[in-house]
Amino acid sequence: MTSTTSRNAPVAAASGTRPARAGQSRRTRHRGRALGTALLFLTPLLLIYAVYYLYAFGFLAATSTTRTTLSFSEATDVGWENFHLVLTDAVFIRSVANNLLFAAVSIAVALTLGFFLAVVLASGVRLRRFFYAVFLLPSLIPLSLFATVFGRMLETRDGAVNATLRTVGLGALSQDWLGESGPAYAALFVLLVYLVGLPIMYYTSDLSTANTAVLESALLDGANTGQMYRLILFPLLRNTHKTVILSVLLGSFRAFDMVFFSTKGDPGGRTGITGTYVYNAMLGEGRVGYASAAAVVVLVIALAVSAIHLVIQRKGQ
Amino acid sequence: MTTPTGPLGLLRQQRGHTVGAYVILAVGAVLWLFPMITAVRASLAFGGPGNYLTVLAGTFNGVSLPRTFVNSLIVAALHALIVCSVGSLAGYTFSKIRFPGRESLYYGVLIFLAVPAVAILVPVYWITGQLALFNTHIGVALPEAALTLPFAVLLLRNYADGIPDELIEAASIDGAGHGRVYRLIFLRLSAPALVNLGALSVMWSFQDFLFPSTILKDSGLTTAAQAVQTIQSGFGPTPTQTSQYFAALVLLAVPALVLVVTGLRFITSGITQGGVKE
Amino acid sequence: MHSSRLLRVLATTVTAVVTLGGLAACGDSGGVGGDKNADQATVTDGQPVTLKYWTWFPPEVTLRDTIAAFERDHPAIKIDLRIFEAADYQKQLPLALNGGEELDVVGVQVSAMTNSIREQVRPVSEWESNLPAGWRDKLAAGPVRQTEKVAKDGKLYSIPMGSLGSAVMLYNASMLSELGIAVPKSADELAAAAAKVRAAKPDVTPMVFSGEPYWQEEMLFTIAGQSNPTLSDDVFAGRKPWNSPEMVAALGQYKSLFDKGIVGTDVLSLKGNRPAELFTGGKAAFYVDGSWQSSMLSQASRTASKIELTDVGAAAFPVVVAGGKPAARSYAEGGLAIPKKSKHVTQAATFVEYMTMGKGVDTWGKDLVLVPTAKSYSADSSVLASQAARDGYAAITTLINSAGSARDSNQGFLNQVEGNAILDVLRGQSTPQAAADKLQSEWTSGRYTAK
Repeated sequence: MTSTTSRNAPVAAASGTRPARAGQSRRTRHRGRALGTALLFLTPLLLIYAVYYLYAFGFLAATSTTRTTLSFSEATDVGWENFHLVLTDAVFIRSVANNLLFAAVSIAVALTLGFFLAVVLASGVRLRRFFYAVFLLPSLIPLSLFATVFGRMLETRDGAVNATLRTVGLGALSQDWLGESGPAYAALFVLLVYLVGLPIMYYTSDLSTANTAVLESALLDGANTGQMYRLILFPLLRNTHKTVILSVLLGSFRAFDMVFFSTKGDPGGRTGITGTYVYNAMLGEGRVGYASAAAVVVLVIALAVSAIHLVIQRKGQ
Repeated sequence: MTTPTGPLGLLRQQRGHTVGAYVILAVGAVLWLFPMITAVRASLAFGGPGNYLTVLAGTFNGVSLPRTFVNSLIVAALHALIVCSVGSLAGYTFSKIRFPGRESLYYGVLIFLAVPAVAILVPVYWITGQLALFNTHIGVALPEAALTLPFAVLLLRNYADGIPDELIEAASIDGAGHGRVYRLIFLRLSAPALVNLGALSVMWSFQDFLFPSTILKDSGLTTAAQAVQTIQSGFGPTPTQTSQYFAALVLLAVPALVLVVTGLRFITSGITQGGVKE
Repeated sequence: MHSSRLLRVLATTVTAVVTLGGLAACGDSGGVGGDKNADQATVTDGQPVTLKYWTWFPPEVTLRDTIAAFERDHPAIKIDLRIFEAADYQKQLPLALNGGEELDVVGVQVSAMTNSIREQVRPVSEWESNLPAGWRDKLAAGPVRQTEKVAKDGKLYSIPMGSLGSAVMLYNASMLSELGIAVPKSADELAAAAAKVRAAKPDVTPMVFSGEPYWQEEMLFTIAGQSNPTLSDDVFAGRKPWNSPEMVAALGQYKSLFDKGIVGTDVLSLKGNRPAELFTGGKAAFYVDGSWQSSMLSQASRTASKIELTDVGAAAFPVVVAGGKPAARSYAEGGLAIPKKSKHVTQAATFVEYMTMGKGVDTWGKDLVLVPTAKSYSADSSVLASQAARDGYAAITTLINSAGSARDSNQGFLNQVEGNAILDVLRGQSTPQAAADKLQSEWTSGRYTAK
């Protein structure tokens, strides 16, 4: 992890050699010119933002009070009804809860399994590169692909999971994975575990620059492996834990492929997340306005999560 | 992954640690490879290795697999280009140009970090229509870039903060304006970060399903992630064709696999540089 | 910043924008914001016109032969075909039509899709001058009227190729005769047959059907129609609530198939092509699907699709409650429409005519996928090679022609609520009454239908 130096002292030397002028006006002119340059440099960014965020939000807000189709003609105004329907839909509320649940599980898995595997790998095993690639693979191939394969594996009769369980004699554990909430959630948790590759990378990178010399004294004091992991290494990586939590949380709101291609929200839409909810609504006949209202609610939540992230970041400085 | 063993190597000296480590890693590797192994086995079940040739050469629902790789690559390249150029300009500006309202604007840029693609899907559909960008690669790359830019700005500003301001001042004494500093000094110095960002952008673009599936309707423009769904109807309900479908899925994973093997280093250091500052 | 520098940055930005704009010119603006009819392309003699034809049905093997025959008869027209899976097509076509694809002929799922694409499609009245005079007399009035009435504004937007019914039961005739099982007519006979199959062949599932949410409605209303032929129409028209006693009874009857052990809940995890795949691979004795699968009755069609079953028959779904009569819901299906963006309306109309009332009907009719709307069609008996096939086709035709209700549903409601509620009952996670109440409250909530 590249540590950054604190912001340097303001420019002082250069201006001292110029002929003296009324300091105020030069500074203002300087700042004015800086603002102009800055805005010029930022134009591409601001342009993209203006189109794909600001205009988009405005468009969403306008559409969310209508009932319309994908061609956006023949829109009829329905006021706040879409919002009312979205916020009272048990399925929607459940999908928000699912988002938070999956985020929590991802974080828990990352902080335990991810941390553990990263330390094990960093302790210097052979074939390190191979293991990193294997653990990172599910996170790097298109999730639509991985989730599709995973979903097929869960088929009750011939799916690979049940078939393998039967072959190794654990047939009693074979379930109707997509038929009941419990097994379906368990399956999705397993899918989340597969995506632990990225947190492993965070830990690995920080471990390489962390000050692990304290391990030597711990060894002299007679600490065993468990204590070295739990009591020394874990607290040492405090900042990384924060990074992992925040990045997993941010990423979890963008989840869509994971559920859409594996369980498709089964059983009965109970494992659906906000992403699948909005997507299904968008492609329903004449429900684009409803989908927009749902999207607005999701956006508000997402911006709130972002804001929390920024506040925490700022406090950390 | 060049990690100096250092003190962590002491863990190896603990009794049973090495053996335990290898056992856990081996079990983990088997579990992690299990899904793809299942897919490969299913693809060979009816029809054998010939399925792969059939799938490579044929078109399914109008989609040809090699074509999807090309399309994914084009979109990914455009995406990376936009993100790196726009992001580096912004990163330099926020770090090296002091202007009123800088921090507020910066947070204003970063607040969009968590926006999900599906939330802006409806407006993107409308915007793409208004800009006449349906069925174009740039039409997909632009909204993808919009979603990647908050992270890019974060990453590049962090990196730029690590470049000492003295270098900038030295240049401005010589009379160079920000434009020349950016072009001649900053870009060269931030090349490592840009490479990381570029690799990450390519990876994320490869994974994107939502935007290609709404914007690219022509069968000759389908991308790899999108093809997972599009080719499904091209395989009829016989066991052989199901095996061929799995063969297609395995093949669709190949570009990402290649990327992982070659670009692992860049991807991982790119991710970690975007994290919390010390 | 020096002015020359500033100019250079500005120039680069402007160039970039212009280039982007130039690239954008290669794209489409789509139908977003409402659509107008596209101008017609001029035809130069000797240059063949290519029509883009998207559809989900009939299957590719059937269409390939029909299209080849059409291209022979009309050398100046070529057809570029693209086939989708049914549920996927419902999503892809509106997206594509609004998103700038220039399609010339599109297949329309009459009840499920007419209203979601009618804004992008020319009403038949606009291009019927390209059809022979008095074309309506060539077609059976019923399906055409159904296609008209399903549109919100009552206009005819597509011409239906034929009619379909569901649910019907296909069976592996060679397996049944091998095991000495007669075609079951009631649920009890079916249970006995299932037990025999399980005993003789442990790795064969007696009965399979799709576990997808949308299919559950078909099963439910087929069973309900055995005692109340018009129930589906009544409920969708609002004449009866979703939690009326008949509906609750029907849910219970559907569930009884599982309680009796005819099917297990593992069938409900079969999605997409899996049920058909199991049946064609000889791993299932009975396969419940719609009459669009009746192409499996034809030996020629099976060979063309590489299906290795020797004999396939069909029958109505067994009657679940004593006193009931075999039933199915039917509807006009396989509508053909011409989008507003098409630049070749004349040629497209020629193709539509060929497919709905011309020689094309005889070609695709051989594959038995639809009961054609064209009055001139009579089934080619050489296609039905065995007694089982002949009986099966007769049964299906009777079911379609005597159907009490239409296969008309609200797709959003079906996929998000209805299918899942029925699945809950089948998996024992909800009682029929509770599920029916939930259906009624969601139906009237306004989320899926205009209040």
